[in-house]
Amino acid sequence: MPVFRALAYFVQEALTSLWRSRLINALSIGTIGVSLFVLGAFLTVASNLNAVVTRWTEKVQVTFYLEDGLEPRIREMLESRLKDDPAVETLTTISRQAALDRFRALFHDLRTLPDDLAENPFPESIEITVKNGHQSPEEITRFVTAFEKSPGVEEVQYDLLWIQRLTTAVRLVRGLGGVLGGILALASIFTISNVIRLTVYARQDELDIMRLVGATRAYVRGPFIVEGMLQGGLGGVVAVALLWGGLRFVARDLLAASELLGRAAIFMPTELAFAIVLGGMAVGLVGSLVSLGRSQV
Amino acid sequence: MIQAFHVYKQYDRESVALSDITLHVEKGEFCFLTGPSGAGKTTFLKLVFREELPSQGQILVGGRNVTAIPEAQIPELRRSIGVVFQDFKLLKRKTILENVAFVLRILAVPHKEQKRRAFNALKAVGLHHKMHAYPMQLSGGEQQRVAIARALINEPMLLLADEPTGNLDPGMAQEIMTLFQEVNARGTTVLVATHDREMIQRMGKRVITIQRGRVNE
Repeated sequence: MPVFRALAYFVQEALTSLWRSRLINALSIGTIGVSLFVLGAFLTVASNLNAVVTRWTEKVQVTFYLEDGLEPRIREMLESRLKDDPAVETLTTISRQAALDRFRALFHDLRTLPDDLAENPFPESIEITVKNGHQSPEEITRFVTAFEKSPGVEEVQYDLLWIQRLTTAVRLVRGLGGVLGGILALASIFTISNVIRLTVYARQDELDIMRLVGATRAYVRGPFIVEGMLQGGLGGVVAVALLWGGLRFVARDLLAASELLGRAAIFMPTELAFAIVLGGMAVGLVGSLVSLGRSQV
Repeated sequence: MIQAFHVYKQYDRESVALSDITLHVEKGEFCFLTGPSGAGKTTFLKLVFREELPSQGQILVGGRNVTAIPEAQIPELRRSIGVVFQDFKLLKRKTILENVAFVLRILAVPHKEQKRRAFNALKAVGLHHKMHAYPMQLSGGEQQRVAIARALINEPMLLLADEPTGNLDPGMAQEIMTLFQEVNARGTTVLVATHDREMIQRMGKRVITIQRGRVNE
């Protein structure tokens, strides 16, 4: 019970103090909010890109185009070797005619084009979908390297390059976010510590009196620590609100038109929202500890 | 209750506040510490509740060497001592009821109990009707009585009062002294620093005189 009473006292004092100097505290909360927003925005973009990459890699398909006039025996050998590979989920052999039919079905307006060429231009191919757990760029590269020089294989086509580029982009965005977020988090710690220090200065007499009538150091410091954490946490809530609003805006106005990402739902991971608020509280905690460490409380 | 052995306090080379103070105040005793302004009375009180450390010598309070207790135990020492400060030291942002209850609050006494005891303490100094006022709304004498109520609320083993009647009219001063006597009768040791000769004579208690930093009993 005494612990709860002390905590209740800390929170009550912290709230009173936040309200008493609401202007400067709003400024501090705003600074933290903007910093966390920038960090959160980078992380959200990274998460969304990552989701796109994951969705794409789930459908990774490798197509082996076969040489013209390939002996069925060689094709069958290739098929059976492919089937034995652990990365292969499904294997479909597309004959030249089937490829032509598919083209006609997919591109209705161009369906007469092959007739003008006098000959079916489509080669025979084997389409492979890759098993879960074998969809990493490294694994795909291994698989393709193992078969691209096999007898009968003319050319291999796969989406790896795009996936690799996107994965690099995700890493870059995340790294940039980390660096920028780190710098801004430091700025927030500095802001909070100065705001708390101002409060400590303003209330130094009061704090001395508390010590003189027997308050422990923890009891005198508690409200300031809670105040810093509340400032940080509120800054986190501001950041989450800004992110949420921003995402809604982006999702509605910009990406609706984009075929590439439009189908991917734009989202903010719930864990990220919690992490931002908790991160804000951590920033506040460090800020108030820094300022209390410097003062005589 | 208080045992001081060859205590010296020096702030810098020129100003010696206390010099070779050796004195004893028995448990349950009521005595006055007197001397002209600047004689070192306040400094001595500060050493007793560990607001300051002596430059040399030892002070025992209730058998504990306060010059040697670790930092973490200072709050506990201060909670067992009621202090009436010369400048009152009231929390300006809190009502006088909250000021008086603060000592109980840091001891995590239940809220209702805090209020009840704080009200009674204010009643004892005749200020219960102003319990929702802030210190700045009160006169110097009233603030002094709030400081006295706060010092007494936790029934301390030792009461230190620095010029507690300095701002009070003779009638109120006498009332406060009577209150101190009642507290003393319940077992609290009382040490009052004052230069009010008349009051000292009227009370007829033991007097310790400090002059230019030295004891002159």
